[in-house]
Amino acid sequence: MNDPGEGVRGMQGALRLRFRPGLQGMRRVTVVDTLVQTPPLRVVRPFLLPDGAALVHLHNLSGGILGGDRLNMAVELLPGARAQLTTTGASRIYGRRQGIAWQENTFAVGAGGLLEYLPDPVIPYVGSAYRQRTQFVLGPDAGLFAWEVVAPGREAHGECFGYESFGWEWEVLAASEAAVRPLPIAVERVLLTPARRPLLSVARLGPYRYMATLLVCRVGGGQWDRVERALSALAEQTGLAEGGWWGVSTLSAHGVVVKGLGQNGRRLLDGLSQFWGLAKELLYAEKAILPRKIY
Amino acid sequence: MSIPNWLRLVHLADSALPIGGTAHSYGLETLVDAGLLAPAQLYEFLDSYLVEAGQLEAVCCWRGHALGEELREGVTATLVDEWVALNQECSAVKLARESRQASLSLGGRLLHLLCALEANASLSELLERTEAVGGGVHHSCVFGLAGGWLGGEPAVVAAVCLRQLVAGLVAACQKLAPLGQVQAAAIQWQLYPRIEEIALAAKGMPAMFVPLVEVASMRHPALPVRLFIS
Repeated sequence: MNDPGEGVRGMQGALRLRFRPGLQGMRRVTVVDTLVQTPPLRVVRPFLLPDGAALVHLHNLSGGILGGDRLNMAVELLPGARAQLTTTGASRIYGRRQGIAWQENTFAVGAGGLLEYLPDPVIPYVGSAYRQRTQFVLGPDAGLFAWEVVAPGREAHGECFGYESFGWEWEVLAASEAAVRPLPIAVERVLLTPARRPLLSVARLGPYRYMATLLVCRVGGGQWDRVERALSALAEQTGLAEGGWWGVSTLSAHGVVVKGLGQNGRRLLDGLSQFWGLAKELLYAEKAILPRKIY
Repeated sequence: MSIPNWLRLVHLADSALPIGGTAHSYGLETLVDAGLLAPAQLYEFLDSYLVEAGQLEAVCCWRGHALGEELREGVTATLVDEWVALNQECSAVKLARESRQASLSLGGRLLHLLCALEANASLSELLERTEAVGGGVHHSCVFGLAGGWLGGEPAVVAAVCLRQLVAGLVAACQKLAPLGQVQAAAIQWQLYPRIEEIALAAKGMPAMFVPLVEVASMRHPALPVRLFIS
């Protein structure tokens, strides 16, 4: 996905976080260093989760992403660190007034680290134009649970695919000392232009409106066929099957992907939580801890 | 491109080529089974599919073609690295396992067949070095490589590759749903301008949005009765 190349006329927000292992008494915990934060991006304070991971809420002080904004988030997990990142609410992409809105996220997870990136749904408003690029670079034995839900618009306002354009690109790379370049294990590049390419085509969304993706990775982790089978069985269970049309697949290496299509974002989000919970049990023999939104 | 080489390229695109092309539906079987795709929607489905997934195949074909042209000068470490990287990237983009494995299976067989038919040291060395790295090769990349090796125009080679893809999907649909021979032929006939457009425009690594097909492919292993491997 190319940079839109338009002059920057909105906010230029930046956020750089570093998570590192530390000790709280005898307990192993993860400590957060906020290296850079410029509006509208902001974090207030981390919260310690029962498993020692640091939970951070990502705030956007503008209440959403405006046309012309360029937001950049870089997160590094040092070896052994554990982080859970979520948002305080849906990411609203406002109508285009000053150009294309652009967000770039990079996550580097060191050896043995674990990143859980669980944002609220993205809601592109009528007339919005948005591009998002996200890169995950995973070290040896690094783990990743990351999801995304994309809404068709503000349904309460009768909006459905009224945005001008919505592009996203994400890639997961597995780095190793032996290889000269990191191995791409999952890549998705999408550019939606509903007025030009109807999204309800049977090759695209068919009868569905919402879409969800969950990435489950652990570099060097094995038995992905077993994980695929277990998550596929979950996809067929009544509660989940009623809320969406789900598919599960092993990636080319080191992980599985879950994709869901549905008519209701909340139900897809509930489904993602269940897949995440089962996958975490299978990969880490631990319970997933849902991100708390209110303290 | 000489007439014999043109005939060789057409030969490699023949649906009767013994590489297993007729065993895959790439998720179509699930879509038909779920009532999401009927013959009346097939033209529109394939048109959108070409615009989205067809672009990826065309780009892989073009990039394979460039390497096939280089290969005529011999195998180099750079060529092998680029060839492996192209196929790794293609594997990463194809998220649905069965469709990815179908593409790898056809690609592997096509490369073996090409090596056997051409009996050329450079092709054999590339095959050997690719297999040493592992990870496999994708059909559109190998078809492009063959087209470059045979001296075809890259857009024509990509167009032939896309035509084969469409023919395979239409043939799969004929087995799955009531679709007549003339109707099937007419759908393909009408799609040729779109194939030309996609084949000519292929560049970069394109955006692709076929979530319904991807989910269908991911759900295919769970179908109680299956005609196709994917």
